[in-house]
Amino acid sequence: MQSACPAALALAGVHAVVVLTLCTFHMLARGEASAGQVLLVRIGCTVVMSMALLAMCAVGRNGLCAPADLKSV
Amino acid sequence: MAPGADYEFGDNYVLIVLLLLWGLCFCRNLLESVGACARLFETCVARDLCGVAACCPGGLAELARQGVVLFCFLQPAAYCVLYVMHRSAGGGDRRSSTILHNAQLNVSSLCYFDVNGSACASAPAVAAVNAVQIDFLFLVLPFSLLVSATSMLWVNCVAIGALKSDTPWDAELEDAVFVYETVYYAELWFMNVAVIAVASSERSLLEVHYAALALTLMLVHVCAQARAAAEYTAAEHVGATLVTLVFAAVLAPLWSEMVQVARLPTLLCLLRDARAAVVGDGAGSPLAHTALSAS
Repeated sequence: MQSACPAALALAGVHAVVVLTLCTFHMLARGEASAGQVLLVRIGCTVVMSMALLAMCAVGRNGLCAPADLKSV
Repeated sequence: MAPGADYEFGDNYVLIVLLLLWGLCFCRNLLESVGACARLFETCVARDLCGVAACCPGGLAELARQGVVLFCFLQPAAYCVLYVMHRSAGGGDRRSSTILHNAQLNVSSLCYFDVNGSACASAPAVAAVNAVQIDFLFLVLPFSLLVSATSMLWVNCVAIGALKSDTPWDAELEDAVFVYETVYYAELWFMNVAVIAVASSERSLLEVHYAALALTLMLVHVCAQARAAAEYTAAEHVGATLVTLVFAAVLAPLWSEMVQVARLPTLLCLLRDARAAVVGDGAGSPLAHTALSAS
């Protein structure tokens, strides 16, 4: 009955890294960052998150995560 | 939420996305970007692809910038291409969708101290489970469209000189940058909704909504604070501490409870309770798609 979804875990992990990176950078760079640095971090995080979502879409979430147990309830 | 509804991505939505992209194509900066790429490739072809850095007028940094802009802008088209590929390829379920539900308690089964404690032993706790299956593309396409929009906005800001690499990121930024900021906050919200809904499938719709909203508010607060003065006042120290605590309070349950890991027994018990309360629920119908109502 116990089941884990590796795709959901990976996506949540990437999301955690992106969120923490955004927060840490913006808090540490308060009042001292340049536009180039801010854009670099923001766009980098966006690209990483987009690639994770694209990978999820390419692999197909249902095949990995659909709970087989649920269908037999 | 309509009980038992399925929202599946269809061909007509592909048309809408392509039309939106076509509309964005009329933006001057996009055309300039495409023109720059065309000149870049022309130069590369003229030099027989000998050395990527040598054929790029601005060097590798400019090449990477053009690549990132194209990647961000073409994201909605990439999702549509993946959708078409999955539809045309047979064998195996390559689609992606998420299931959210709205479970309602059977309030007559609840026990209050010293009131009805003796009469609440066997009644099911769940009266109805309204589950809805949403195609992944419905969740992720708004995010990708906003990524396209923000990439165009910052390219525009750079083109008109509102942003340079050494421009201080403070309250003196030009108005065009604040438009970019606003759209970027919307992008953050759609990103959180998409990721939390997909990673936390089979959770409550309200849980996903409030988790995404809380996380977005925290991110917006932190991003907006980046433009403030570097020196903290005493009150700002207290505020920053409170924000950090709220941030931890939002993230801890999100990543420890909501992600789809080892929660199936709970959901199955929930659905079985609901099924036990149903009379004539249509045996054999997939529960994930079916609204269950107590008689």
